[in-house]
Amino acid sequence: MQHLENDMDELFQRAAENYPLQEGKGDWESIAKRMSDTEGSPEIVVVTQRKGIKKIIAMALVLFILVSGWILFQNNKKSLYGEVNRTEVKKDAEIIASDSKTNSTNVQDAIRGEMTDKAGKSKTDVSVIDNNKRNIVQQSGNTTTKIISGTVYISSYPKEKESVANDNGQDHSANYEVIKGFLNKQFFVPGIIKTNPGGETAERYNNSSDKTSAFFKTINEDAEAKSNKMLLEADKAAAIFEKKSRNTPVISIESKGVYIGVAIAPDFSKVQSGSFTNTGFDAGILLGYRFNRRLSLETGFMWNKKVYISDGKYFSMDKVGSTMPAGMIIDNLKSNCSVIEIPLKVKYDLISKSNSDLFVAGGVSSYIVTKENNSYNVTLNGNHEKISGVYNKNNYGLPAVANVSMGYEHSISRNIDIRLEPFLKIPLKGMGVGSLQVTSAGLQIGITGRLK
Amino acid sequence: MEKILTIIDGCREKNHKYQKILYERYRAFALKTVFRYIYNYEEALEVSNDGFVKFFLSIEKFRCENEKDIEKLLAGWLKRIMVNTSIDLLRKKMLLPEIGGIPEYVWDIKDKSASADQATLYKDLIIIVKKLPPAYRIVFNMHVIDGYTHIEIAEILKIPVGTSKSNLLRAKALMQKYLNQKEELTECSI
Repeated sequence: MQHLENDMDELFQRAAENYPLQEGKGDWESIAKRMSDTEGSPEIVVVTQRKGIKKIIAMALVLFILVSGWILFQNNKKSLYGEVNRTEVKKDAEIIASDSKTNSTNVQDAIRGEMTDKAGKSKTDVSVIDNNKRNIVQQSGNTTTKIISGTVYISSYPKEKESVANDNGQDHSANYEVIKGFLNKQFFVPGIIKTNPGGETAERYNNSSDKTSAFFKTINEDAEAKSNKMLLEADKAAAIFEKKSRNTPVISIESKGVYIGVAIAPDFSKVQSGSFTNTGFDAGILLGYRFNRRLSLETGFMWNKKVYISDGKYFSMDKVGSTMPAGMIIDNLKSNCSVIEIPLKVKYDLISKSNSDLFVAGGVSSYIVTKENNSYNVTLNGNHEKISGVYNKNNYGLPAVANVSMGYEHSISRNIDIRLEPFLKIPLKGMGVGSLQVTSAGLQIGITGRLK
Repeated sequence: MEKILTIIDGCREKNHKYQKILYERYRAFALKTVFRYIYNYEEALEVSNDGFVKFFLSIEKFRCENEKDIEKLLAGWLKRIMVNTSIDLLRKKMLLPEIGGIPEYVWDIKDKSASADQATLYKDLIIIVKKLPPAYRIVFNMHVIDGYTHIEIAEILKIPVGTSKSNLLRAKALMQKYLNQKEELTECSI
């Protein structure tokens, strides 16, 4: 026992090596199974982050619904006017029918009197413009300027019931269905003044018919008889008109212009040769300008939640090496990032049909990583450990990825489109604190509305 | 008998045949290491299995310049993994001491020869270590038996270096006391 007192440490070391413990049978099968499971994917569960993702997805969906609702609401308002248009189709047709027969009628004859109200007071705020927006008649007080030629629109129009008297003193009364904010038109047929609120329908027809040189006419003789005859022909013309309306491309009317929208997308990200196994989420707003029927430029503001797993060898320690324990080796990591993406891309419609497009788009996106939450599996002193790092400092990538996509766009109404756009984002720069080359793919679902 | 280098290379390639060979070669050593910390045989078996999983998953990072020392270094690396895995479990259990004694079936003393006496002595020493409070026992195991420095112990256990040193001193004092008591009991029985 004296020996024990003098060299207790050595004795315990020998005891630890040689004490008689049952070895048991071993359980190699369970170890092999666990290794096979573990090698597939490191399981790192961060419950709080999942809660965060749910909250953010819910917020994005609410935003999506609100913006979509607003766009659709705006569209519905216009649709109401559109209904008025449709009720006026027959009237349009009457004019077209009569116009085709009286093509030689001089538009100059259309107005040779004063526009007065029912009390006989002259209107002072009426002007008429031609196709080229030239003012061809201007009524100011008792003075009415000369009509030049061409298709006639009334750009400023009476607000309620109006009377227009021709030079014979005949009163051509009509109920103006004036819709505020819309370009209005007047059509003069014998004894009747026709109006067509929401003149775009007529414009479209007019554009498709070279024969029509003027909508704005007054026929002075045999008005009632001719009117009846025209009404019969009007039915035929209405049918033609409606058919043409159906076949007329909607998008072609507004080939230029700004559009806005919202989009959401599942986001699958990977690093290098990894696989797209983790699901993130994108949501945001789009802003675009259409240069012509095929070419558009788009930007926006997208919020991305990216989740990806990376092998440790791809993680650069340049930015965070000083904060890591010395000698630590990162085996792999799982990252959960909040990223603001600002895309800039050109969209080209490969196939453009009446109410659908097939398009391709390409461009670059800049990333601002606002928050990065990394869970690392590391080897430290030969032992496996898990550590985590949260980085709130913004990391910029300008630009960070090349963005290519191909999609289908469908018009659900005159100004509203929905689109499905599979995309691929190829890294141009490393992302986040580890400068990881993150590739993302997904399917963007968006709704856009053209602005007037 | 496969060469250790061949086995390690096989393990690096995640070849289960070589992994099993290595497991069979070192599982007794691993179990003994873990048992000194856990003092529960069933839990020690599980912890040693956990340690082997970690060991095989990280073996590709094992480097050794000198082939002569490779087995020694490999055993040292495995021991560290086992110790750390054991400490992880103890942390989860809040370093609560094991209640009750060690059942006899965990011991492997087959005969009554001189070597059996030696084995019994070693067994008794291990049982004495168990008497130490958990905080002292861990430091005693790590420093005296497994060769950790106080700085390493402090880092792993997340305690001040001074605490590690004082725990060791108290552990040794208690061990001395337990050994004296055992000596007295032995003399009485003679």
